[in-house]
Amino acid sequence: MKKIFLLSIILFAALVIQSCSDDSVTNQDPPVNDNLTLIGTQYSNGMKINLYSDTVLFTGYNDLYVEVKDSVSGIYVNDAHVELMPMMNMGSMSHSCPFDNPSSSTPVNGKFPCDAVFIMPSSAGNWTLETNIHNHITNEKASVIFPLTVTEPVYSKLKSKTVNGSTYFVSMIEPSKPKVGINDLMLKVNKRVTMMDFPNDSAYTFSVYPWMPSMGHSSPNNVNPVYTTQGMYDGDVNFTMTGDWRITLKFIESPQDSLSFDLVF
Amino acid sequence: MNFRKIFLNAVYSVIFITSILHAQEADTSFRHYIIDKGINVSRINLSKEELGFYKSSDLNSTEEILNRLGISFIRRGNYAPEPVIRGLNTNQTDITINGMKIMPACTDKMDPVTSYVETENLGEIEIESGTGTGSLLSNSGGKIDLGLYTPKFSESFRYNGNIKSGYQLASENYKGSFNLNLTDRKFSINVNTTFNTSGDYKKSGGIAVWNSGFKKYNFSLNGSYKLKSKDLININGIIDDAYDVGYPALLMDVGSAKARIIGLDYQADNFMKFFNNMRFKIYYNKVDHIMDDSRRQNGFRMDMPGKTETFGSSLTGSVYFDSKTQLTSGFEFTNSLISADMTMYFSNNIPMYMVTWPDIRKNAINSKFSLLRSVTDNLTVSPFFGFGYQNSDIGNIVGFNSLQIFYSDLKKSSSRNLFSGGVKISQRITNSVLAELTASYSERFPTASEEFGFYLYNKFDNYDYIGNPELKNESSYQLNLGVDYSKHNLSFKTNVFGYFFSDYIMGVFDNSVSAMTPGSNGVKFYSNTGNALITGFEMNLMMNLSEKFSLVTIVNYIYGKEFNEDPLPLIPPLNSTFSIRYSNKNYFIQLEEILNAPQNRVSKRNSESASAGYAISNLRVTDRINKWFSISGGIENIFDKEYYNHLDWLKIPQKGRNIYCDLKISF
Repeated sequence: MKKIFLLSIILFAALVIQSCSDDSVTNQDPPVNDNLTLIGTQYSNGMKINLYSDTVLFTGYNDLYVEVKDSVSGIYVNDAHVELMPMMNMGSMSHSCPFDNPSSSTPVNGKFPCDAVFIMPSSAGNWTLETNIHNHITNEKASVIFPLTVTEPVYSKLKSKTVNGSTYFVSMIEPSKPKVGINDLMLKVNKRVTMMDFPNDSAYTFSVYPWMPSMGHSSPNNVNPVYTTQGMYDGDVNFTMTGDWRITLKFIESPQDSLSFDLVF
Repeated sequence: MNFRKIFLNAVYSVIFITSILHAQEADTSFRHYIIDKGINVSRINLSKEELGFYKSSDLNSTEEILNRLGISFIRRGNYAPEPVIRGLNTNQTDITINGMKIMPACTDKMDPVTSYVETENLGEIEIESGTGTGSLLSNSGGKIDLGLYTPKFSESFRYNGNIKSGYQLASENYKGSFNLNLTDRKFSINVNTTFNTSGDYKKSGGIAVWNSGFKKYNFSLNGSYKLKSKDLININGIIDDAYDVGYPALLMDVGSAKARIIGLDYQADNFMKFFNNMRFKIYYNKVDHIMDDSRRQNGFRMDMPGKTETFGSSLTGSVYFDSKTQLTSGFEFTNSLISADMTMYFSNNIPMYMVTWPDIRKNAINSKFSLLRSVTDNLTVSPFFGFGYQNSDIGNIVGFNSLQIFYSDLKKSSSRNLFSGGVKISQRITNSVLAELTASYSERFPTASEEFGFYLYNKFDNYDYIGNPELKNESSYQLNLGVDYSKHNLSFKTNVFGYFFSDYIMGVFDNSVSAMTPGSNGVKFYSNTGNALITGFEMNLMMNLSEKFSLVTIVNYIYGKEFNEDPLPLIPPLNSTFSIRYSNKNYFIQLEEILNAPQNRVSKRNSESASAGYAISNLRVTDRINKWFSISGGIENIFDKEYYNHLDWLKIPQKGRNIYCDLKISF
């Protein structure tokens, strides 16, 4: 018993020492994910804040990455609280859109992953992303605003549908690079509660039906998307050949309602 | 297994009967006959064959000759019909050229191997029906081997050759060929070139069947060098190009179908003082098949190229252990690549691309052993055993991903093996009567389409077909009883056979999958549908009525059913040919009557419909004017009957009255 007690103290000490020595900042740069697109850079209260996305921002679901560095030393801030507020200013009115704040105060590869579903392109007004950061290491706070340019993709990746009086936004996240064969089907569903509040939603389930309009045929063995977490649905959609495809999603609980995504590859 | 029991009982009872009947006379030619012929094997040497029943003109097509040897054909047009042996098509049979394996490159079976030769290339044709004692392992339904030119040698340098030219009125078909042989004591060279072109043929009443013409060029070179009296080195090459081939019974035509075939072989007698005869072969061939629909109004355009490539090598040999025992064995290795894809163009949409044969690389080895043992002077027993192994690799990632939609556990590389074996008992009953029983078990691998095909449209039943990598090998127990009677002016040969299939492979409709091809009824998956039976008989009677009159009668009957009693599809109806020939020294006149019964036993599963019977009459004349000139001509379908065969897709009528004339000039 005594031995176990001693051992646990040693172990605990070792853990504390290790976490201390590794705490808050690293001198080494985290591995660079060079496939990301830099959206903008802002400085505030000794912090350099970079905003990245996977591609150019478009109407629909976008993964975003907030990188926070010490503006002088360039050292990554590894403990911070990050909050977003995307905003569309249309002149006469403004509104927000669905988004998810980083789920943790610890970055992944130096960046805080978060996302936003832009529900219209910048041609309708001005998109901005207000980013509030509380640096837990320096206890400094910063608030910066990134101007954003959101383009409309050729084939829409976001559809809205009013079902039983409520408006839902359905984003098709995957397939982002469709291929012949089995494709991951990933959707995100948000409900519009107010113009500023678009919570993740899991009220409906969907059936998936791919269709080739030019030839008039479907594809077999698709897997209906099922709800996972944070408004996300996961399933499979199969394409038997390249060409133009239409993915139709039916609201199972409201069978008269459906929406479709077109894609071409 | 019920089959197994019936099968074994039948084998035992026949062995018993033959041992009772066993007579005591001795004849040295008997053994020879067993080795050479066999009743379920038909063989014809075209270079030796005189003009007559089997070869009515010097310009007969390969299909005409095969047809007279009992082969039926599935027709999709007036070109490249698919040979059928006893109701079994090219999925279950092998067609080889001089023993070389060649993979057809069309997903729609528009190019059976027979379409890549001209009769002018051929020496000896051999047809083995069912599993037998052939030296190499062949498919379960048997094989057609199209042997190439048989070399000839001469004491001093000589040359000879011929020019042939023929015309057929009903299809405006012109065929011309030039053939040159150079021979010496040590070498033999044969060069041949053929040109064959046909317009749309006319059915009864002179009405043209739209889009049924073709153009074909063929060139072949055969060289042989004699090392010792019977030791030869042969090299054979064929270039065969067909263009603008119309297939009225399909959605598509062929822009071009090209084959390049080259083979080298070494044959020796008494090789290393061990093998009594030995043959080693190495070969390569390549087929490019481009479909074309520019003449069609399908509402969309499609490109469907297919290509295959085969490299192979085989070694066969026989050893005589003593005067009564002979062992024949064969080993074969083939490496082939099979690929096809499809691009569809619908008005302004972007092209749609799909992989139909996903670059399948097949490595296969097989071996076969047959022992021939003379138990008595009149009884010979030949047990045989074969083994085959095949590895298939899917090389095309798009094709692999496509198949994964249906088969999530699909592996890029898979292998199969098979066994076959049996025994053939030959018994001379009297001097002129020979009976032969073959009892065997055999398996076959699924074809590339059956295993890996992706949405292959079949116009016959109007379904899209999808392959099934999880298929089991199709297997069959086979019984064949043959009797041969030859005496003086009469020769009679008959075979009665029964094939009992298990895991019979056919397409099965799946209503959960929607059709891809516009207008198609749905999708079928190749499946092991269970048991099936094919049974029937064939009879061949040749009789010299007098010195000048001779008679040939052929009757074939096949009965096929699945074990749910549904008839099998594309089974030829009872058919017969009667021919009577008057021959004089230099000419002959031959009258033929071809009879086909109606076929009412049709497959519901395959949306088949019944076919009417028909009778047509042909008249053929040949005159050897002198040493240099010979002329053949005739009228086919004299009474201009409108008819189609049960195996003709879409029941498109065959040629109406056709007058042909062929001229051969020899030098």
